[in-house]
Formats: sequence, C-alpha cells, structure tokens
Amino acid sequence: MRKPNDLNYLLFIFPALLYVGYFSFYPAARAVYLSFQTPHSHFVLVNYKSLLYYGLSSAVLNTVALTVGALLIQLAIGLGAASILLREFRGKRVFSALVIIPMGVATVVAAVTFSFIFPPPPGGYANALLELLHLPQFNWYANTLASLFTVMVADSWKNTPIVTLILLAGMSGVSPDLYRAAEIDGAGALRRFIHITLPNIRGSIAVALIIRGVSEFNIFALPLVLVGYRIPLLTTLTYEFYSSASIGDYYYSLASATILLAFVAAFILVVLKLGGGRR
Amino acid sequence: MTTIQRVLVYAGAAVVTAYFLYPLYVLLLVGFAPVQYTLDKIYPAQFTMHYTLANLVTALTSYGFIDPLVKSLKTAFLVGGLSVALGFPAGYGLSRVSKKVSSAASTTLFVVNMMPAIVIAIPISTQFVRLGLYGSFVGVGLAQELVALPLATFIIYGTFQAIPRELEYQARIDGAGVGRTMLGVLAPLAKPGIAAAFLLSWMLSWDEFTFAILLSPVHPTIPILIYHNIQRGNLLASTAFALFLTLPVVAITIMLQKYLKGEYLSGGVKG
Amino acid sequence: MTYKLELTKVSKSYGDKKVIDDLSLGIEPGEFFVVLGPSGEGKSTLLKLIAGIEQPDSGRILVNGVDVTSQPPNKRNIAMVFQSYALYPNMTVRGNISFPLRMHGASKDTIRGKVESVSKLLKIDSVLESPVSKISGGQQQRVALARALVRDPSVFLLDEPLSNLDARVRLSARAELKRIQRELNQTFVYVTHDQKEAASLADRVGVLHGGKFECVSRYQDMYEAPLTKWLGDFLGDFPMNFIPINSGSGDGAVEAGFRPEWVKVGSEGFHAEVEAIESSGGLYYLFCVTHEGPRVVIRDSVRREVGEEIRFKPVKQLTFRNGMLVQTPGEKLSEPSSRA
Ligand SMILES: Nc1ncnc2c1ncn2[C@@H]1O[C@H](COP(=O)(O)OP(=O)(O)O)[C@@H](O)[C@H]1O
Ligand SMILES: [Mg+2]
Repeated sequence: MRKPNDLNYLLFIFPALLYVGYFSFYPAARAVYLSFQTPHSHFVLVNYKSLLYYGLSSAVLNTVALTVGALLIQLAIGLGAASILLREFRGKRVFSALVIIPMGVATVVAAVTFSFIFPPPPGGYANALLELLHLPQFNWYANTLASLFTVMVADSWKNTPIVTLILLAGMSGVSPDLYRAAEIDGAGALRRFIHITLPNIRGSIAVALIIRGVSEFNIFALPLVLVGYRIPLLTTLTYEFYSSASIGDYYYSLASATILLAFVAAFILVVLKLGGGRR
Repeated sequence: MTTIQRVLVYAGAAVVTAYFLYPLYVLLLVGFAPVQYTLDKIYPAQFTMHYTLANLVTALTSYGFIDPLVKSLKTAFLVGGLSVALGFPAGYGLSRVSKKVSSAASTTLFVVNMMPAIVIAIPISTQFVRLGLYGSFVGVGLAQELVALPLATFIIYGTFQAIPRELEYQARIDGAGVGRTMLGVLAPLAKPGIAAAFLLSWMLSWDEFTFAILLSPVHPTIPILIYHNIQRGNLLASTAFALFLTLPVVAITIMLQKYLKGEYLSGGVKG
Repeated sequence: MTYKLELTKVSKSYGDKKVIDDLSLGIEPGEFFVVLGPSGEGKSTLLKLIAGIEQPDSGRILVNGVDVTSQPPNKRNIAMVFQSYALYPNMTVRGNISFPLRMHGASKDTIRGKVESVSKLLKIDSVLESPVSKISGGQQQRVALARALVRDPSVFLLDEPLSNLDARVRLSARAELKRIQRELNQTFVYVTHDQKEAASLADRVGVLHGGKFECVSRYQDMYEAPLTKWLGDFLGDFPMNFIPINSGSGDGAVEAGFRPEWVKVGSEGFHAEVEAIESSGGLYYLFCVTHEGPRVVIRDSVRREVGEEIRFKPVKQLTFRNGMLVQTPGEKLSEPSSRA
C-alpha cells in the first residue's frame, strides 16, 4: 500500500522524470519507430537490409570484440590498482589522487594524446620508447585486431579509474578478519586473493562490468579519431550515415542506432535482473 | 606487510602511475615543447629541456577559439544549473519516498544514464531543427543534461539520506513552511552535495563529445573544435585546446575525489 | 471545560501494521502527562501525530478546543524536543534558539530579549555563540529545550529527551525539567520508556500498549492496583507474581497477584524453593519456584541460600479474572482505561 505521503514527495521527483521521459525515452522510441520507415513507405525492413550490405555484421563483430577486450583490460588493471589502494603505504594519498585523474580528461583529449603515442606508422611516442629499448617497431593499425587493441588501450586509460573505484568500494567491504583467518591458516597472498577477495567482490565486479560494458558499446570519439571509419563500429557507422547529406542515409543511421539500442537494452535487462535479485 | 609485499605494492603502484600519467606527460610535452622536438620527429625525444609558450599563444589567438569557448562555458553552466534545478528536488524526493518508489525512480534514471547518446541525438536533431534549438547551446545543454542528471541526482540523494529527517520535522514544528524548510534548513546542509553535483555536471558537459557533435557541428564547443582541428591536421592547435580543456577539469576531479565513489558511479544498480 | 489537548478516536497504520488504534485522550492545561511504554509501541508516532508530522488515518486532534487535524505542523503552535535533539548543525546555539521566533516573524529586539532570558534560565548563556557541535551533550539537550521554551506554544511534546544523557546528568536534568514545567505552568506531553522517569515527573501516566492506553492514572495508583495482568507485569522493577486460585465457580481463570514487597516470609503460606538471589540496598530478591508450580519473586530482608526451602504469605493481594483486575467494592481504584 502506498502512503499518501509518498505522493507529495513524488511531486519533487516528477520534473526530473518528466525531463528524462521527454528527452530520453521519447526520442529513443521515435528512433526505433522511424527506423522502420523510408521517406516513401512505412513499416519496411529495407533500412536494415541495406545496412547488412554496408557492413553491419563487421560493425557488430568489432563492437563486441572491442567491448570484451576493453573490459578485460580494465578489470585486470582495476583489480591491481584497487588491491594497492586497499593497503597503507607512503604516498597513498598522492597515488589515490593520481588514479582518478584520467576520469576528468575529456575523451577527445585522450584521443588526441593517444594519436601522438600511437600514430599511423612510422614513429610516434610508443615506438620511440620501443626504439630506446632496442625493441622492434610496431604498426598499431596493421590489421583490424591491432587497431581494435590500440583503441582498447586508449579507452582503458580513461576508464580504468571508474572500475578501480567501484572495485575498491567492494573490497573495502570485505572484513579484514577473513584475511587474518586465512593468513593464520597459511594461505598466501595469491590464494587469499582468489579464495577471499574475488568471491566477496563478485557483486562489485558485476556492477563494474555492466556499467562499463554499456559504455563500451557506446564508445565513439576515441575510435572516430584513432581509426576513423576504416574499422566500423556500431556508433561510427551510425554517425557516418548521420553526417552524410542524403535523407536515405538518415534512415540508415536510425536503423543502425536501433541495433545499438537493442544491444544496450539487452545489457540493461541483465542489469535489472541482477539488481532485482540483490534488492 | 612483509618486505616482498611492500616491494610488490610499490612496483604495482609505479606501473599503474606510469600508465595513468604517461599520456598526460606526452600531452604536456607536445603542448609546451617546440614542434621540432615533438611532432616533427618520427621518433620524438621522451624528454627535452626546450620549452615555449608559442604553441599555446598561436593556437588560442588564431584558430577562432573564443566562440567555442563561450559556447562551452554557456553550455556547461546551463547543464550545471539544470542539474541543481532538477536534481535538488528529485534527490530530496527520492530520500523521502518509500524504498519501493525510490528504487523504481532511480532505476529509471539509471537506464537513462545508459541510453546511447547517439540513439537519442539522431531523432532529437530533427526536432531541434524544428524548434530552432539545433546548433544552439540550449539544445546541446538540454541533451547533455541527460548524462549529468542521473549522477547529480544520486549525489544529492545520498546527501539528503545523510540528513536526519527529524531536522526537517523540527523546522516544520518551529514554524517554517515547506519552502523555508527546504531553502533555509535543508539546502545549507546539502550544500556540499549540491556543489559537487553542479561541478560534476559542469565538467561532464565541458568534456562531452557525442551530443555536441551531433547537435551542433557547425558552431562547435571546445571538444568539437579539437576534433575539427585534428581532422584538418592542426595537431598543435588541437593539443593547445586539449590542454586548455583538461586543466580545469583535472583540478575539479581532484577536488571532488570524495564524491567520486563507487556507490554514486554505480548509481541505481546497488539500489 | 476544554482540554488543552484532546485526541478523539485517533488511528494510524504503517502498511498493515496498526500502530495507534482508536486512541482517545484529554490533557488538562498545566498538566505534566507522561506516555510510558516499551519501545516500538508507537510512542514517537503518537507525538508525531500531535505535532502534525504524520497524518492520522482517522480521528481528530484538538488544541485548545480547535480542530487542528488538517493543519500542517507550522500552524499548530506546538513545540517539540526530539530524542536526538535535532539541532540545526550549521547554526550556533543562538541561531538554533532564535529559529522558531524568526519563523514566526518576531522583531529583532523581541528575539534578543527572549533568547537571553531563556538561555539564562537553562544556564547556556555562556555558549550562545558556539556552534552546536562544539558543546557537551548536556548542553545540547538544554539548547533543544530552550528552542522549545523560547516560544509560547500551547503544548510541549518531548520524546525521550533525557535518554541520551549519562545517568548522573539525567537525574539532575529530570529535576530541573520538572521545576521549569511547574514554574512556567505549561502543558507537557512527555514520552519515555523509563518508569522511574514517569513516576517522578508525571501528574498522570498513560501506558501505551497495542496502540491504546492500557491505563491512564497516577503512577502510584496503577502500580498498586494494575488494571490488567499485562500492566502488573510491565510496571515495577520486577513483574507482579501470579498464582492461580481455585475459585470453584467455572467462569474463567482466576489468579492472585502480588508484588515482591507484599509478602511476609515466615512459617505460613506457600512452600517454595529459592533458585536465585539478587541483592539490592540491604534487601534480597528471591527467585523461587513454588510447590504449586508458578515461579515468583519475593522480597526479604534476610539473606537466604540457594536451594533453601521457605514459606511465604502475601499480606496484600489482588484478584484477576481472565487477566483483568477484579475490583473489590469500596476500594478506590484508578479511572477506567480506554480499553475497559
Ligand atoms: N515511517 C514509518 N514507516 C513504517 N513503520 C514505522 C514508521 N515509523 C514507525 N514505524 C513503526 O511503528 C512502530 C512504532 O514506532 P515508534 O512510534 O517509533 O515507537 P516508540 O517510539 O514507542 O519506540 C514500530 O514498529 C515502527 O517500526
Ligand atoms: Mg521512539
């Protein structure tokens, strides 16, 4: 039963909900609706069929590969950084401030910077480092996989801090007694990590994966600057159609946006399922 | 900690620090060193003693920087203001309704946060053309607010949850109406959270790329100006703009450290 | 005559849980009324209803004979002190005390004068300019009280205002509170779970149980002659003892009830074995099991041994039928409760 009190307080939330309804849910629904139209006809799949011809499947494949790879990198570094932040050591305050700095750096700035570090061959700052160490040079864009990896590294630089903070929140919640008990039982640091830390922060890992996963699907500025339209992703493909002057392309962009939305929606459903279980 | 563990912690911290700081170092190097030591070299030096302000001065004076700066500022303040105007009542309301209602509302906001900007921007662009908002800072701000509002609301919500309800009751009993209770008693207590929500929203807008390029490509904000200059090959100019864009935001980020918590970042998921 | 504060058939539920159930009450001007009850029985809810923070599901609330049921808290002219004090943390002591006056649009001079005099009365005039976080718990409690007293409200509501103080301060604060109430001749509704507090402060006590007043009367009266078994059990340091009586007539369970101090230990009466002993100020409380079965607590001035067989006889006892006190004719008992 809802108390009448709730209704009064709902009035305070209402403007925000109205706002997101009008500017988020309504346009999203419109995008889906319009994607099944052309300037001349209604409820047709022609936009989607044309997309297939224009490389939709490789865009989907690339997007999924990029998402998985970037998540793995961010999780690995995030776990390491969070484990470090959990301990007391000299310089911890400085370190914890450093760790969040990339969060404040605009994506497009990260893109500029990494275009200096990983420019198309020859040279660049990364290759200059390799040369200093007398290691072989590397073409960061030799093939699709290499290009995607370059984007992943740049993206992880910007986004590992969020993952770190979420994992740190989870790790701080694990009782130190558990570690002490395990230590007394003779478990080494690695074993403690595998048998105590990981199972206890499962929830936080899931949250980090979900939040970052959705954002990875939406990754846009970085690939746009680093690889342009050469390696299509769902976002850059959509944008390519959108920024072309043709009205037919506008409808293609809606169809491709709808597919992106479908992926994100699937992800969100997983979130709500998981979230619902925990509440 | 044993010595080995200590060494491992410091080594790990060093590696992570290097990964996080090296790109910023490169940006500063390109920004402040003469171009013959940086971008003109195939293998640029990792370190140089030659510094100049010429790159910055040239970029900021001769690449039409003022209009984008003004636009970015106007948009960011609009987004910050909207976040407080909508997020303050919403955060307050969320902290006062029953658990069921609040988790439904925060789930909605969380879903909004996850909506792809590009999906929303494409249909909105045609509507904005009709409304005369396409290309204006108001249009960009209204769209960017979608990114900022959920986070701002969660921060303010958290702040209000920490304020005992009895203070509000007390104010009402002491004779304050609803408005005076909000503005005279609650707002001062929620000030740090409101400030954080404003700054964070300001910063999200200042950095935002997708809505800005889709809804105002011709009259750009600074991030779009940076992108345009990369495309035209004006790398030094885009570096200068990038530095200009980054420095205030890094300062705000460090200031807001306390609010950049896992709880807020994960929003509604943890409920 | 009109009551200062009157509740008629007030009910309040949270979800399916009925917290206040058809409760009626009238409080006289200048009365110190204490609401006593175990925690979770709805004492705070009752005060919130009176203050207007919560709305009753049904029933009416009258102040000075005026129906205020639909009035918001700021229109009711009622002052309240919360258990947590609810001091405005961003204001000084002066800012806190003057807040209600400012809200009621008093002039600067009036505010200054009233704040000075109430802070002298409560001996906090030396910390007027301090932030409330910088003063002691006892001082914070006084500030909360001062903020209520500085106005001229119809009724004062106090929700366990002394429970956050340490024992010694609590005793002196209790005495002072009583003195102030007498001096100002104000109407107080005071909530507590502490019987000693109720006994020493109240003109009348209402014991809240199951959403209703189990009994409303002077504390001593209800202690001496509790209207129900539940009340006998609840009041006092030790619960009242009950032993079944064979009444012969078949109309329900009949029990004898007596307090530990109402018995004489000697050579007559019930047989019992001592199971445990607690001593307090030269007196001994014996936890016994009677040969008839029920366990009892009795008071004695002689030290006994655990396992010792004793005999005891109540010199005074009450009769309960089906959990209700059987009132003997001619005996003066408290006024009937709303439950009767
Ligand atoms: N806002 C509320 N929502 C739901 N239940 C409540 C609320 N306030 C109090 N209750 C419930 O009502 C009962 C009485 O609470 P309260 O009035 O605080 O008791 P007391 O002050 O006697 O300890 C408790 O069981 C409590 O859980
Ligand atoms: Mg209470």
